[in-house]
Amino acid sequence: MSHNKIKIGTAEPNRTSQLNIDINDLNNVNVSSATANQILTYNGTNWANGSVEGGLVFAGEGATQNYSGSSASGVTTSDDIEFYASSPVNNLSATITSSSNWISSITLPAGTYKLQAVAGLELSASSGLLEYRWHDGTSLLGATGNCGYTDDRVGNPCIAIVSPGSSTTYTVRITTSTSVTALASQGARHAERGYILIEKVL
Amino acid sequence: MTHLLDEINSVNQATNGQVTLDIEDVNDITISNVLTNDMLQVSGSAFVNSTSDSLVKRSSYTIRKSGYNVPSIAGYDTSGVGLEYGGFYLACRHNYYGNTIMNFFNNSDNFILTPNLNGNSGYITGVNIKANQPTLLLCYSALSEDSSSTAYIDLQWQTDTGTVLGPKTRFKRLANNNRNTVVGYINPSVDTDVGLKRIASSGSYGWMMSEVTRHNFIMIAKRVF
Repeated sequence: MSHNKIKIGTAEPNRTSQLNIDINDLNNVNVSSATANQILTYNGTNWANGSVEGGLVFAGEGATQNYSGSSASGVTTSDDIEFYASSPVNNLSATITSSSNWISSITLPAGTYKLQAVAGLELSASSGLLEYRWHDGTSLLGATGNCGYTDDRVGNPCIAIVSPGSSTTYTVRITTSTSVTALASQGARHAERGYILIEKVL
Repeated sequence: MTHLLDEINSVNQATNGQVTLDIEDVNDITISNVLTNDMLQVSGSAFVNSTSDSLVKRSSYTIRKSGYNVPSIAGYDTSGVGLEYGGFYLACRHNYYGNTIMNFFNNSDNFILTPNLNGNSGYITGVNIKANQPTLLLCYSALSEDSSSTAYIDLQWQTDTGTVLGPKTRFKRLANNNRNTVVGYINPSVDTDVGLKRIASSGSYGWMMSEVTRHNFIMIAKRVF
């Protein structure tokens, strides 16, 4: 018997009896077209390469910051809502556009995402209503969120599933504004109770 | 002629010279109790298999099943509790007047999830997020219909040392609007206890219980990458 017959997977020894094996030479590993940042996962039979799914953008710190200090253009229909976060979580490689920690838009790379946001702009009358939806610069997207006069009426989110084929910028846009307190008089409720949560789903 | 490489690690060479290795035969890979969807992670100088969502110390949290105003253990749905590899997912319910995470009409407890919430109440203890596990925290719930009509409670995810993890969220006893979701995020550098802190409250409130509105308390700690 000769040691030159030794093989590991497809790897064979060279003339100096050195044996260099790749991970694919292992019996229960099936790596194909691997790209950066992939991980090995167990599929029930073999270990195979796959992309790391998931990741999120989260902006919602419960901070006491008056919305009057934001850079928002207004609080009426078609105005975009800003969200306060001094240290937003971003492991989606998103581009977060902000000024003085007030986030005005989020640009996402190609992929599929669940967009969710809760706004808490203050109202001046118990009959007031704020409604809002996600917007991609062209169209309103997904389900409408709303908030009301009292704090318990904050928490109804706008939600959309989007699959941009290329980098796309999203905002949260007001669609109904009834008895919403003027921007200059807005207090801290929105920063304390509002948030943006974007999750990568595919 | 002797062969110089008749064994690699503990795997012997076949008569045709073939050595068949599995991944765990590689020197710097340690795999134990592997499950579907496990992944390999670097741990020190080795690769080890890791369950992608095992972010809570499974052995460190329990649900108390006896105590004040707890009529019977049968009132609990603990089917989602203690999933060894399912991450943290609790879907709990209880009979009227019962309580899983906060004593009925109890206005003195700060952390709803705490090892020593109340010596005589039902509670969940020891929710602990592992280090370096980016985790989305969610709690979907409602106030009991048995609460005072104007009762409310503001909740917020925090660590046991008071680090804020998300926005405040209000739950109020309303016929058609008593549900809400508390959202938080943490990526701790060391294993960290987390819980829902009461920021404010008013009136006499009951929490997530009633025979009418069962299954109204779901908590999720979801790993994100």
